[in-house]
Amino acid sequence: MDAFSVAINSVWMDSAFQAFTIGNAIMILVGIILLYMAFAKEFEPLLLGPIAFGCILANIPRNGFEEGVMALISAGVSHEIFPPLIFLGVGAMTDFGPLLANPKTLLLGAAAQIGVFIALAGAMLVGFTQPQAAAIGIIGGADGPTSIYLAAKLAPELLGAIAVAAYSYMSLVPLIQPPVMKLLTTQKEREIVMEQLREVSKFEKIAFPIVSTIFISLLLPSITSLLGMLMLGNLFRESGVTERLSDTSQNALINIVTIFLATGTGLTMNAEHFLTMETIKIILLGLVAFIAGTAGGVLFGKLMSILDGGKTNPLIGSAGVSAVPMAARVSQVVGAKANPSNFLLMHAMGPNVAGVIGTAVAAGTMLAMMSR
Amino acid sequence: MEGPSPWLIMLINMTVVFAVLIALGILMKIIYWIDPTKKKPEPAPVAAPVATAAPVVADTTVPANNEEEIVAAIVGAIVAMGYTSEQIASIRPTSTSTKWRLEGRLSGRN
Repeated sequence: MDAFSVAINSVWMDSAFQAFTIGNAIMILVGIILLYMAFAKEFEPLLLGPIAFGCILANIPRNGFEEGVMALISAGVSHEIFPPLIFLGVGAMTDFGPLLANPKTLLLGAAAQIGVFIALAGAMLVGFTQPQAAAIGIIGGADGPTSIYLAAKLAPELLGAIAVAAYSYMSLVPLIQPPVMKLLTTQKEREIVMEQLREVSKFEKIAFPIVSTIFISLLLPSITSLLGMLMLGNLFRESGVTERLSDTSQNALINIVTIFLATGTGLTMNAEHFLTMETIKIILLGLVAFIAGTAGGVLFGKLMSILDGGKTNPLIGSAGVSAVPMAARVSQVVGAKANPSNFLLMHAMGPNVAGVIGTAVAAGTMLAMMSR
Repeated sequence: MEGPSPWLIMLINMTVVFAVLIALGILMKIIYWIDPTKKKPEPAPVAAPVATAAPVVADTTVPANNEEEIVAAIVGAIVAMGYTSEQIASIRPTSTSTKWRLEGRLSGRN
């Protein structure tokens, strides 16, 4: 009987209940709420699902995640392995044709990055350090892998909050953007029908990823892995002779890496790092960044519309925040509401993919400034 | 105060982002200009159905001056693409169409 009670006692003493805190309980509750949002409300379920479950796992005390597969998954996040692999798949899914057909839409992708820097300035004003503010600001780029990449480099202690804010707001793009777009444009501007895009040759589609990788990587070498993988994936797609690699990159590989990246992000959400005032500030700053980015793109679209005599529909500017392809779809939906015969989707894909490059460039610029 | 102000950082970074993307736009234009596979400018869009209809006319050895049959062949080709004949407002050779001029010259020789 003594042996039985000793065994029971040792199981109890070894159990996680012994070290369980109220913070862990709150974070497990947060994880369950995120799971509900992911699976019941379908807010980015592919990402929020594993993030939420990782959050629950991270808040089990004495979980032994210092070694084994969970340690490897965490290392994949903290050593910036997963974001470039995700970009490989994103590249294989991206068509740069609309951007190549209308290169001036690059400017919309640049203008929408204003959200990143307004959030950066705001974060510095509320007391974050410069590197932390840069990592928070990139939420405005609406680009999950780049947010995680930059946070892992500049502010690993904020990675969980930044990733959750980025992915949550990305899933809320259809709710956040339309009011801003409508507020900043007139009915007449929203009705503008844009000219059909020219056909882009295969040569252009193959030369662009090669030339842009060499140019941007030489200028901002800190983002070579991100940009290089994006363009490699795109080359797989456009070459026409690497169908299997393209297929693997945009399906099997990106799915596998998404599981690891999202779970690893969830693992960073333990109570001691997440349950702070900083997290609330980050969530609020992320919202400011998204709104400012959308506004920046739309306002620049208005400027372009004035300069080119009303050929540009300003609504495509909001797609300059990355969130591919959801932000472009929002431009299409808002445009179609103003003029049902209007098809802005392909025009909005130009600034949308420009936004991906713009956010990576913004990350590279900030890395160059902050790492000194 | 340590480091530059938030607004200066914002200004510098936005300038760099714009400069890089403008440079990228210039590279895109250069790629377009040097593209060895670039097609020469095509005639106006109305020339497209004309081009597809032309062989039909040639195959059936219809005299080139029989415009009704040419029009019928063009209408047939357009209808085959899923449009109705009511949607065709007019069919006429474009002034810039070298294919039509060439067709006319060849017809004259035959």
